[in-house]
Amino acid sequence: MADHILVVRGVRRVFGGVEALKGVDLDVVRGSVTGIIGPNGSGKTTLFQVISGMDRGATGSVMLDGREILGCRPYFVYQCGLARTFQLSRVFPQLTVLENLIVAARRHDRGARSRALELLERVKLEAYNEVLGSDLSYGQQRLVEFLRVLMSDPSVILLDEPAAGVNPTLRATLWDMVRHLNGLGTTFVIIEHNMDVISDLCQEVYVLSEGEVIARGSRRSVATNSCSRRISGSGAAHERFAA
Amino acid sequence: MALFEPTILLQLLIAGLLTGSLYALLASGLNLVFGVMRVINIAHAEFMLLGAYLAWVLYVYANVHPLLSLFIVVPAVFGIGWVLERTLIEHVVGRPLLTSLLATYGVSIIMVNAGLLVFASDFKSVPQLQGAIVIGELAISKPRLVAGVLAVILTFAVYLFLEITRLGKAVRAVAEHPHVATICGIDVQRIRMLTFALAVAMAAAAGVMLTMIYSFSPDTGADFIQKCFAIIIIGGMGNFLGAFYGGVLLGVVEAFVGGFGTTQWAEAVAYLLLVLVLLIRPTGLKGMADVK
Amino acid sequence: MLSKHASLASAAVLVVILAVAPAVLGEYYLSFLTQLLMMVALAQAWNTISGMTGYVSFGHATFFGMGSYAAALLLPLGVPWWACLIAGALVALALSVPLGFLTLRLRGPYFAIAMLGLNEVARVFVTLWVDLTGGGSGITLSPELLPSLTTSYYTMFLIAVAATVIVAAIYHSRFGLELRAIREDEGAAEMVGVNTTRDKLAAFVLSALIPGAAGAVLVMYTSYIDPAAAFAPAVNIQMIVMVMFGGSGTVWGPVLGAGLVMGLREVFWAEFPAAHLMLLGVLLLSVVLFLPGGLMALFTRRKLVRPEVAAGPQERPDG
Ligand SMILES: Nc1ncnc2c1ncn2[C@@H]1O[C@H](COP(=O)(O)OP(=O)(O)O)[C@@H](O)[C@H]1O
Ligand SMILES: [Mg+2]
Repeated sequence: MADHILVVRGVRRVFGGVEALKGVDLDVVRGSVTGIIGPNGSGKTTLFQVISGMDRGATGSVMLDGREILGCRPYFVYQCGLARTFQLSRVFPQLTVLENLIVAARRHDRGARSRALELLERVKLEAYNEVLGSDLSYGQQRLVEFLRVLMSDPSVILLDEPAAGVNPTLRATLWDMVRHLNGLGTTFVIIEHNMDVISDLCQEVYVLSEGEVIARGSRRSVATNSCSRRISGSGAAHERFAA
Repeated sequence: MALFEPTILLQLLIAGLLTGSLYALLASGLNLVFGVMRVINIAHAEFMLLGAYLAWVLYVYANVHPLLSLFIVVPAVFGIGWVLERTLIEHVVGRPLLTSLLATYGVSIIMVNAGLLVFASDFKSVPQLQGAIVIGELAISKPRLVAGVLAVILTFAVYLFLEITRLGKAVRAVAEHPHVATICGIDVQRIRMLTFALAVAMAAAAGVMLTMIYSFSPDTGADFIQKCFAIIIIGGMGNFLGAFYGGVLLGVVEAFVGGFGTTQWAEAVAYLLLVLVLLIRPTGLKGMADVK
Repeated sequence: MLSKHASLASAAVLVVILAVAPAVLGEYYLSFLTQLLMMVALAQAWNTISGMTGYVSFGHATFFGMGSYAAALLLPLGVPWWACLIAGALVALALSVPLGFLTLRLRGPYFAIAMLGLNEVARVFVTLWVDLTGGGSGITLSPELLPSLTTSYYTMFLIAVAATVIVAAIYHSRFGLELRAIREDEGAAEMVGVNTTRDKLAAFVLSALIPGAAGAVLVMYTSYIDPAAAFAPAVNIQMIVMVMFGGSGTVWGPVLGAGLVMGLREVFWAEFPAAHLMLLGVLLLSVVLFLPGGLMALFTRRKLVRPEVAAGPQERPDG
């Protein structure tokens, strides 16, 4: 039995009449990279909202390291070691880049500043320390948002389409960081549309459609199945993918 | 206890409905502005008072009956609203809600104190249409009846305008999908000017009728904006008809609290209702998840 | 921001001048300075919650009024004036904890709407509770109970300094950083571990204590209080305008704003109170529209020297 750090069971979320999640199960192996794909509106972001505690209107169960976190407030989930980024970047516009990072450190972390500087240096953004978040390009904002969640050394990181709107250079930097951190033991769950990235990074992939997990497979089954490149239509593609 | 006699209850209900209609006329304008422009106009009740003072001036200096002065005051305030939107309010559209709150708070401070400078702080009213219609044991005050019925008619006229006419549909389109509206060739800025002008004109109409019922001073707006907020939060922010129902509801609740308790507590009812609703549903009674 | 040395030096000069003022100034100017310092304290209080967290309070005069009434009720019972001051702060504290707990769950605009009516309700409440408060006719304090003008002045001076020191300490602390993150994006702040509920409540309670104490001092200095004066809308207006004018969320903005507005009032507007408030409205409107950062934004040398590293085409979000 594999060691699962994040276990999602029967998560259901209804908005008015729309059932955005219809009982989703997810098992994330410690130290792995798990991909989530699916057409727009299939509930991927909603799933992250629920897991991270931003959306507390769901039912079901979310266990992080054996502890129930469904219904917990986001700051608490974060302090438990689960961090996430947003689909549309949310840096703090009137805070400097350095402040953007430091605020995400643990409260009594004396080394926060030096850690922030070190992270910025790693992605070659050190010249931007004192620049306001709003003055960064969109790609830089996404990267800063990613560095921000690293400040607390989380054990699980959820990334919601982290490469969308990012230029190829910064995109490469981002994936390198993910690989590097994963090598050090951090678990990732990534929503991503680019199948090359998925097959390159992820050990396991979930396909979500209309709020349901319609397929789940290993990296190889994803890589060899050409249909999964056209997942945006659900019905037929889903059956072939699952086959 | 005599208070529980059916006639008294009916009397209170009717009084509440009539006052509530006036609130509804006032609040639906505020909600229209919020729905279309995403601006909370704290100065909205000041436009009601603008209407009231204009009617008072016309009455005192030209002996114009308030019901007649509606035809002068409402277009005038419409024009003022049009210009004000163009020059001021347009700048806060699309900015954070708190910016528009602070900006219109500024407008409200200016209008209240301008009112104090011009009219001083004593209470005014226009004693017209005095007396009551007596039906059996019921007595319905004439000015309240006229004001209440007119308020309902005006509110529904605006509602029909929004529902039926091309221009009204354009207003609703801007409220629901500003971007799509732009693409469809709607002049969004003109629609906003129209919306704001229409809303403050509705407030002014309420103000004109107010002159026959209440005595008012330049500070009276504070009570009314409080009621308006309670109403639109109860009825759903941005929801035109919701504001109508909310207004009528508040009027009735106030009438009963005033009837059974004291008038001063009736004044606080709006606030307590507002706080209560916000506590039960921190985003108001109807969906407005998009309000940041 | 001003450089650290410059602000410390100017603060020191200001404090020394204000400390020796009673020795030099006549009663009229001392009384003016007392009011000025009161406005500094009130502005800093509003700054603590609204400037720092972006939760705009239209009802902070309530705490001021509560502080005034607490002192006015206790002084005649023989309670020493300094204890009345503490009582004023405590009453504000006792009100702010449950109130903040309830209202701060509301996001920005709803909070503003909920606070807008508070002052009015407090006024009705105090007016109706005639047995305790004397209702609309207010409470007059006999002069022998009251501290001297110089004492009032120094007390107000201490409150203003304390308020400014609190704001400065918050501004430069981790707590302040968290509050600013809440102002920028509350959801994102919570998602990076900021306990927003606790932080907002702490800021709210701090911002209520100061007006509570200042209100207590004011009543000792005017020796009379009634509901209209204690819960005057003008107090709310002045607090907000001074902070917005000077620069909200900054340490020196409220001091600057209070100084300039009170100075202008003394020189030009004293004769016409309505015109004074009207001009404050114009000021607020202009600042909100044209100078959202307030005067402090003019001093701030924003670091716009953007490095040339990523001179390539700007990336755009693609969906
Ligand atoms: N706050 C919300 N209110 C109402 N419906 C929502 C909300 N958030 C998401 N939805 C709906 O839930 C469904 C899933 O959306 P989402 O999780 O954003 O999809 P994805 O990230 O896979 O593109 C969509 O139909 C969307 O319209
Ligand atoms: Mg999504």
